[in-house]
Amino acid sequence: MNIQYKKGVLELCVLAKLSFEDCYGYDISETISQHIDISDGTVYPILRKLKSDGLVTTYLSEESGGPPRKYYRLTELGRKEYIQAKREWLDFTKKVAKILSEDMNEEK
Amino acid sequence: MKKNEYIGALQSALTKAKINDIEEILADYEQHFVQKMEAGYSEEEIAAQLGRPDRIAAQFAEITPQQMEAVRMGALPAIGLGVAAVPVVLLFILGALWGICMAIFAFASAICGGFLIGKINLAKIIPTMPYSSALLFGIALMALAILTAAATMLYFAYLSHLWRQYFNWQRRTINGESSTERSQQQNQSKRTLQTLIRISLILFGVFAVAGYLNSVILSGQLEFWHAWHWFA
Repeated sequence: MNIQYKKGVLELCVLAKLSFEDCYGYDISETISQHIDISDGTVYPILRKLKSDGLVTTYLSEESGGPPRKYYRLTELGRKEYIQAKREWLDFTKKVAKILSEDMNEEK
Repeated sequence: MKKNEYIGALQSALTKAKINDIEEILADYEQHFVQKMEAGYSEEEIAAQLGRPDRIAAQFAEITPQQMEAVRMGALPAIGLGVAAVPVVLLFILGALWGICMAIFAFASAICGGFLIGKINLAKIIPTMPYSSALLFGIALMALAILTAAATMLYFAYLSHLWRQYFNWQRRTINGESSTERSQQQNQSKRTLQTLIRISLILFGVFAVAGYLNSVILSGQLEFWHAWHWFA
């Protein structure tokens, strides 16, 4: 799939994953790469951008003995942005699908 | 690539791309290695799935907030702002001066409008006229002040946008990086300003005309300023 398409939606996918639960960066990359073919490392620049935009925040949590691990969490702003971006995306894809299907009808 | 090699390569790529908070970023990737190793992957597999360190560093460079870059630019005079850039910088300074003129004009309009509305005649700068005319002209001037102030803000936003683009272009030319487009987040405030400009423009027009008509009717002359001896 076209890399430019992916770039645009990865942010939305990250927000979606975080809207369910707080995650490690690792969880997010695992979830996304199950469905979309991306490099695992791509998730962290996105998380950093979301953090600098104030949409996500991080906290450290002690896990069974080992060093503390970093969790990502959606902020209130992040949740609002996600809801809006999700709506826009679904609306957009619906329209694109409509255009594509009309196009196919003409070809027939 | 082993974990340590990968982290080392990533560190040098991030350093080369002048990214801030490298330690924090590396900690994320270290944790990623640890967790994937717990899930049973080998260090080589994990490194391969992460993607090339230079590509990742480029992605971090793309999303670096612009303010940070501006600070870094300021700290590095050796950015290559050579002799050729001086006219451009002068142009920007001129542009900024023009913006300041606009701001002063807005301020002056607000003060005159305030004087007219509030019946204040400091230093006798307000010519004689009935208060109804003064009120209408005063509101028109206030609208003009808002109009100019909003236009000034838009103008400065545009100027700083151009300025950043110019700097980024310089930086890319020097570093030989590929061009990256950044999304604008201030679209909302921009739209608000544009609405404000439209509304204040209409208010200004309406009240200026109303003030003029009112003055003409009260003075009985089209050139009402003669009737009230403004320039006598």
